[in-house]
This record gives sequence, C-alpha cells and structure tokens, in this order.
Amino acid sequence: MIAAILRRMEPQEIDALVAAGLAALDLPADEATRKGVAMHAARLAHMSRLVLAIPLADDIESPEVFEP
Amino acid sequence: MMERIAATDLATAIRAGGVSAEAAVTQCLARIALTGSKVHAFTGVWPDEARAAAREIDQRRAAGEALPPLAGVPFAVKDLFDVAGHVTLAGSKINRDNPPAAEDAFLVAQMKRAGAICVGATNMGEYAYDFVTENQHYGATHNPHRAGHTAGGSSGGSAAAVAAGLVPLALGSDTNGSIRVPASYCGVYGLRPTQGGLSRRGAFPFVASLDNVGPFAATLADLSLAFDALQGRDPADPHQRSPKPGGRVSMIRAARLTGFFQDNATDEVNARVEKFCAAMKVTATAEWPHADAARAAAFMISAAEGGALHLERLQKRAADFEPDRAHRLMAGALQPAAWVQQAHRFRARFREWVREAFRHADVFIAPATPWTAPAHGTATLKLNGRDVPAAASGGILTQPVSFIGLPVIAAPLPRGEGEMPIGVQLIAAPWREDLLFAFANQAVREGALA
Repeated sequence: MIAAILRRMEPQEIDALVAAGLAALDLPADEATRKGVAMHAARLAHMSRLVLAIPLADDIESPEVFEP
Repeated sequence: MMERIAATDLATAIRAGGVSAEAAVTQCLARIALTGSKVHAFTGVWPDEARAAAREIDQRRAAGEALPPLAGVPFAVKDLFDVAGHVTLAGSKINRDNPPAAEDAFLVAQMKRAGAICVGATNMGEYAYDFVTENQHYGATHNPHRAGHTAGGSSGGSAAAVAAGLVPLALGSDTNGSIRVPASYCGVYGLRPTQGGLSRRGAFPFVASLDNVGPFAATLADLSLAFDALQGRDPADPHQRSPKPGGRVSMIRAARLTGFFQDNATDEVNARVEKFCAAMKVTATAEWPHADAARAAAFMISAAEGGALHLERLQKRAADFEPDRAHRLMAGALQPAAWVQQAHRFRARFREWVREAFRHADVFIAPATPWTAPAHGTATLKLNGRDVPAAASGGILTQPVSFIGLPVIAAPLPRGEGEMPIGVQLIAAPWREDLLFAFANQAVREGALA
C-alpha cells in the first residue's frame, strides 16, 4: 500500500513523509539525508511489492528465532 | 600476484619439521608488507603476537608434542571478529572509540586451538552492509586479479588476502552474500555453512536473522580443513543449533538453477556455469519459485534489522557513518512493520518450496555473482535488459539462498587467459555440507573447478 502511495506521491510529499519518519525516530533530517533516505525508501518500496504480492495463508508464522 | 600457499601443505611441512612456524609466519608477514599497499586487504597486522604464537608452536614441536591440524598456519580475520587486545572496527569509524576486545570470538579461538596463527584483521564494508569493500574510512580493497576493480564485499579484505597469497586461510561473515560475492570476484573458495551451524559469538552483528560466519581458502582441501577446525558447540551462542545429519546418498543428484538465477547473470557468467555443468554431466535444471521475492525479502529484513541495530548510533553520530550507508540504514528503520513481518512470514513459505525442490536434487548449482568484479565506483550495470545499481546488486544471486539458511560453497570456475574470476554456488539442504564437499571434490578431480 505504501509502495503504491510512494509511486503516486509528488516529490515534496515524499520528502515530507521521510522528514516525518526521521523525526519520529529522532534521526537527523537535513536535506541531503532526506534525499538519500527517500532514494533507498523507494527501492525498499519496490522490493516490498514483490513480497506483498504473494498470498500467505493465515497460519504461516515467522521462522522461529527466539527459544525460551 | 604471488603464489598461493596451501594450508594443508604448510601444516604438513611444519609438523614434519621441514619448516618452522616462525619462518612460515615471517614469510607471511613479509608478503603482507610487500603487497599490502597494492591490495589493501588489512586494517591491522600484528607481527609481534603472530611471531610469539609461532615460537610457541615451534617449542611444542621441539618438546615432542603432537601438533594440532593447523599448527603454524597463518590466518586473517575479517575486522568484525573480536581478537583479544584489539579494537573490533567492523569497518566503521565509530567503533574506533570502543575498548579492545576482552576475549577472542569463538571462531578465532577455534582456529587458534587448531594451531593456526592470527596475523591480522582484514578490511570490510562499513558494518558489513556492502558488496564492494570501498570503505571510506579505511580505503578500498583492490582485486588482486585486476587493479582498480572491487574485491567484493563485505568480506573483501579476507578474500583478497587469500587470493593474493598473503594468507592461506581467512574468516569472513555472510549475511546476504558477503563471503560468496568476494570469493567469486577474487577466485577463491568460500563457505557459508548451514544457518546456526557455527557460533557467531564475538562477531559484530548486522542482521540477527541472517548473519552467518565461515572460512575462505585457496583450495577446497584447505576449506575443508578450516571448516573442521571451526566446529564446536558454544553454549554461549543462543543462535547455534545442533546439526541434524542426513542419510547416506549413493549418487549425488545435481541440478542447475534456471529462471531467476540465469536471468540475473551476464551471458559470460552463464556460459561459464554451463561449461561447469557440462564437465560435471549435469543436465537437470530446476527453478525455485519466487526467488525474486526471496531476494527482496532478504533485502527488506536486512535494512530493517540493520536500521534497528544502529538506530542509536544513527541518532547520535550519523555524520560518522558513510553517508550512503547511513541513508540505507535509516530507510530500513523507517519501513512499516507490516512489510518486515510479511517478509519474515514469506521466509517460512519460501523454505517449504525449496524443501520440496530438494526431493529432486541434492545439490543445486547457480552463479555466485551476476558478473565478474566491476571497476571501483561503478554506479550501474546492465542486467537482464535493465540498468541496476552495481554495488547493491552484487548479491542478487546469493540472497535467495542465504535467506533460508542453506549451506553453500562458492567455488572458483576455471578461467581462460585474461578472464576475471567467477564463482559458482553449490547449494545443499541444511546440514548437508558433506554433500557439498563430496560434489566439489569430484569437480576438482574433473578439472571443473579451479
């Protein structure tokens, strides 16, 4: 969904989204950072389309990592 | 390029008294000093400690003690493994401020227990998030086969050190291909074992779900020797699992991976893999469904977990990261949780599909990298008719494999005059490293591997 939104968004809207995300994580949000992060975010959004396109049954769980 | 030294030959010579461990280490240090600036494989060399350890081996031999299998053999470690008394840089500027490691990483300790002598730490991509080792803090590692070309990454220094004949063995880490990519570009052997097979304790982390560790060697026999030395149960590593040995296989069934793995390699690389398959009389082919999504999911998980791991450093010291690295990690940290969780759930699904594929083959064959080592600074390369980012795409063929923790040997294919090295991935089911070594041994005997 966000990938689709990113595709539809104007550059200034993407910039605002990235700026808000960086602020939420208390990360620096200067212009160079916002541009660099936006480029990588677009790449991740493209990757997510490939993954989210595959239907997964409700009972598929994440592979176990933590063992009590 | 210097003549490579085989660990097996050197260990035999030292045990027999034909050469002293101190002489072997001295020669190794001289090689590093001589070619160090050309390859730039090392971030730290420790001659005094290495010579002292070598003298101890020589004294043990003089006292009539039976020497362990790697006695006196020099090795190097990727600069993310803790080595007692040294700061673990992990390719970063920030980690310079850390105190020296209090103890050796488990694998470093295992190598030393086997008698091997650590001569130094090797260069790597910053925080292991890299396929090129063009480190802005410590300089770029150069491919020993062609100046100005990448050695691959992120364990580029380790692969280059072995390829240049500086050390016979080195340790690396592989989250998404960081052993296999540099092994392919540098023309050496690299092993990414079954996920959870070797202890990761004392190796600086990157992506907890995917991180793995393993050896590089110039020959298959040396790789096997190093893998044996690294075995050992480490109760302090919660990630380590007990091996589940498989049954006896009378004849190894091999199949070449097509589809994604063929489409994302250049014609030159595909031709060399085809030649390998012909030499090994492998005619079967197989496709793993949705390998493109597996690569994408590994990409997303890496960015998310890496971003989370480094969040505090990014908040406090963003300017001390390489800028592009910081931006990638920040973008990873900003991913919606639902994307990352779906990527993890897809991992379970993909594992089932590939398990099914193993009903029809014991070893899968695929190129390790889409192309031979690109020149330093290459921004984009053509792949499957598209312009793709050269650095990030170096691991496109390794990521779907490590995504589900399969054991892989990256092995160098023979090359003609003027050809750059390229490696092939030999992939087995979990815990079947025995099949990988058996198949690779056969390939070496047939002349199908370098």
